[in-house]
Amino acid sequence: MISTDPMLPPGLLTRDACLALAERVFRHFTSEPASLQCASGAHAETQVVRGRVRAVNEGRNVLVTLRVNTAAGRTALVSTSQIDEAGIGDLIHAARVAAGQLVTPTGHSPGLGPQVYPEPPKLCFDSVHVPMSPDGRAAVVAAAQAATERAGVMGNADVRAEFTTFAVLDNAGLSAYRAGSFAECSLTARTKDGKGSGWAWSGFEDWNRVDVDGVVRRAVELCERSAKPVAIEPGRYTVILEPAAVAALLEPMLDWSARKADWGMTPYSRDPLGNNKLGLQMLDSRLQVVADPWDPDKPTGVFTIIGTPIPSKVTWFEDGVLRNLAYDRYYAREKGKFEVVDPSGVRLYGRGETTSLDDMIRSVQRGVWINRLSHVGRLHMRTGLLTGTTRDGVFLIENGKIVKAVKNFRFTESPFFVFNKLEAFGEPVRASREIVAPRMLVRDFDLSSLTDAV
Amino acid sequence: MTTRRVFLGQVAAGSGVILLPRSLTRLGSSVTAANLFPAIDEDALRRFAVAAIEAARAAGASYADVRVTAGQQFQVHSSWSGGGARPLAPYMSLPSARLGVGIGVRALVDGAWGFAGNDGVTEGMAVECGRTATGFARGNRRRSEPPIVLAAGGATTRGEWSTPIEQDPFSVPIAEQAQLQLEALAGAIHLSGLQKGGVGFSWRRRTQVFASTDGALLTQRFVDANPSVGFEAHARGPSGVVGVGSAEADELASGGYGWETVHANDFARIVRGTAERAIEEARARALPVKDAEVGRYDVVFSAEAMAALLGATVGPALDLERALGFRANQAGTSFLAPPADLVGQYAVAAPAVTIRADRTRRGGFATVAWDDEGTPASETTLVERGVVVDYLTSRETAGELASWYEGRRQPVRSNGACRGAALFAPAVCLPNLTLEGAASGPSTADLIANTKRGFYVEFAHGSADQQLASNQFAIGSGAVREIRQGKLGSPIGDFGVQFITPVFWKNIEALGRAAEARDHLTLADRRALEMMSGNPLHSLLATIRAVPARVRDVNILNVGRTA
Repeated sequence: MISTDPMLPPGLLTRDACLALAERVFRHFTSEPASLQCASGAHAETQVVRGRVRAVNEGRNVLVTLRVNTAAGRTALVSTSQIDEAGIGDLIHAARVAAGQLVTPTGHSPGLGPQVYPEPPKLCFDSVHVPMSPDGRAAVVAAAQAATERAGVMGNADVRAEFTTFAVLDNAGLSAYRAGSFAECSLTARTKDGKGSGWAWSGFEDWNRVDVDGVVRRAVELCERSAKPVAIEPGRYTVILEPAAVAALLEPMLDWSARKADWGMTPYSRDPLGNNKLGLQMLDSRLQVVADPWDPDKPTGVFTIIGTPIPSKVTWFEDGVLRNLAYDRYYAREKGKFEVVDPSGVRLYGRGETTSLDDMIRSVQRGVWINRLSHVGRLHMRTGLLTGTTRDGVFLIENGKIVKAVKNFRFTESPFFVFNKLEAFGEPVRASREIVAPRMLVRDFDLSSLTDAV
Repeated sequence: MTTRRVFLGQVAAGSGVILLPRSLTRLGSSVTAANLFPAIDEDALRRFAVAAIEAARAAGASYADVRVTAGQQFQVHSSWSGGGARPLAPYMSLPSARLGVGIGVRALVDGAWGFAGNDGVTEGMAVECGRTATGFARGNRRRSEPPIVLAAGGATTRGEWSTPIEQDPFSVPIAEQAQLQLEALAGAIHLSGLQKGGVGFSWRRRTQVFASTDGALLTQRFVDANPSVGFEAHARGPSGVVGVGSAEADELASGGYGWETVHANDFARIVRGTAERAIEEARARALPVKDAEVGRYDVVFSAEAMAALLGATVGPALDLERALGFRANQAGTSFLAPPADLVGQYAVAAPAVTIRADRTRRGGFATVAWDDEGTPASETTLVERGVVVDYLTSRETAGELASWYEGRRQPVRSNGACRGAALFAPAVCLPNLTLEGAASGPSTADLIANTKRGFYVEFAHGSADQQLASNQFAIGSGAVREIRQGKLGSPIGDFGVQFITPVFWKNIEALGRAAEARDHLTLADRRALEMMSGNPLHSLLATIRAVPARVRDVNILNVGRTA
């Protein structure tokens, strides 16, 4: 059992509550494999629209999922959000009846049983109780409202906080539990004529690491500076991609499934006949992509949703070479490989000397600084080609200086092209909920057309 | 005994006799999905709803509304995999079921909102949600100027409504459902080149009680169906290239239907036809395809492609909350802004284009009798002869168009586009939409025949921008054909489309006939999906219906670059 001792809001499933639920359920399945997943959460949000608080919301969710495997080798999967005595009784009844209807018995699938997990990182922080309370969020909202009013721009903000718990248990002895927290603050400041816009975000498992002042300052500044954008010709530019923009390009790369790669369904496929690109140089040789549950900037749990331990960090790309794909235990057995579990979340970083933003700007003769990419969609599976738009802060750089705001572009690029046109990179930071990434200086980025969207 | 391998060998040898796994012959259980679940206690839901409203009123809410929902979902799925080293006979995957109950209360105090929601409901929780939402609203009022004023039109009485279906899928034995799936799969898997396939039925029923301090107490019982059929096939071309093809059935209606959506159709024929299409696509992809030539061309879009594009472009752009900037910090705003200036004035599409929102259409995923603010469902014309004449509104936002409505002598009221749930405060979401065609309009074949040089596009999806002002997407070679002198030609590879939204809709030069209209399912709101992940018991989909169209001067891209 992995233990954490957070101060959870009332109504969430504690470790003891999950154990009690499991005991209630498993006494009905003494000789047949059964497993239980227990998820619960509390979230709270204050939303500011056009400078005014529009919504103060709070919600609590719970979902208990039972998987049974009857003596006749039949299985079923049943879940419920009603976890009182009657609700759990209904769950057990539904599972038994549903499993009995399985036409093709799957045979016995024994549970994982007791597992050994490494010591987890801290995922749950008491500091998140501050934004969980309406008053705690109100202080942030007031700061955003004051700053946007002072600047004469429209503020649109979200302050969110959540606590979650998750447990997976089976009647063969598996028992894993974790509790986590997360809080985030984001602000979009728009000029009153709707022509200029700035955005900033900060989020972390620990509210003390959420940079509220930085978010407010940056969004308002970007909005003010982007007030009168001019159109410049689309084309290939040297660009500075802020960490949020890099994360938007990286996210579509995170489908690490070896099975899908072997079936020709991801950019990591060589062909649809069972061959993938493991061992191939796919990115600039300075770039590394790792998933590390103990990453201080992006901690995650040390077991998967079915209870499989995550014993160590996984290196997806090392020096630009694809080193790992994810093999679940069944596919690993089929292919004669070791199981590789996707811990979720990644850190992209460059090996070698980092470059500051000022130095990046100084090095650009003519280029574009991009705060964020939005509405990213895939155009080509094999090459990973994407499209999307720049958003909330785009500026022209000339002769080593930012000279003016420019209108937004639609881009057409693949992360596998972009991460091979790397000129320089900065220090990695938390760039999105799942990604730690650096700012990057990239040549020949295809800003393929203009868009009127602001 | 017939082993799986022998069974496969027999059918693959084309013996003409379809042998079923022995387990099928033992079917006969009369257990239905209804036997899995307890009956939904509607009286209890109504009691919880009233308790929440009374608690909010007692705590000082000037207005409050509540949605209490109980839902049950059941899924039967059968699969087949024949492409690997160990081919299998069709088998029924593990059945899955979900039960859920939830409550969401919204309260207004001095013109400020508060909202509280919970999975699982007791009377005590309902009271707590009512008090909590009101407390949030009270704490929020100083920072929420100017105050929110709700438009009239919310229900004030009791009412009941049920999805009109012919046969309750929860009353059909599960074994019968599985047998239909397995027999249909067995009738398709001998086709050469198939790698894997699956068929699934997902059924859901839910009862939602809405109550408000206006006096409404509405009970709606929804049933919806989501059947699926899909196959993947491989084919080796003359140069050794392996083409991968996939296809999904589009003949089975999803939405507010019962067992009839499967049973009234020749299900086995549909399954086999889908498998054949997957093989055809694989063969097409194994052949050298012609690369897309960049430039501007006339393009004939199928009905389903037009429906997908409506749901990705003009449809969400007409969401009044979005156009007013409510989602500026999330998905974005809308190019159709400011709404009060544009409505009645702005031509967003060609004069032939009429777009309606319709939550009363039979079978739609967004079909209701009242929306989640208690506004009666209705049909609303949004775009008339190309001009924007209305937006998708809520009781909170309808007043923004007051002068337009008053000028037309229409009441200032919501047109019923709100959806809410246990963990999701009511917000404008996509309803069912229709791009109308004419009874005497051209067929798809006519549209193609009248195109000298261009392309025919069977499927589309959109990758828009933060104001839905532009779009770009790519389509696989199995879904794009060249048109030369009115005839379909080669499949086209690396084909991409890019457009400015109003230019695309204004360049529609012909709309197809109403009889060829097709439905496309789309997410009603991505934010809702994020907020309700883990709770499957609320409707997130909308049904978009459209006719085929020919659009001139569409910008065609080649997306096959490698650096």
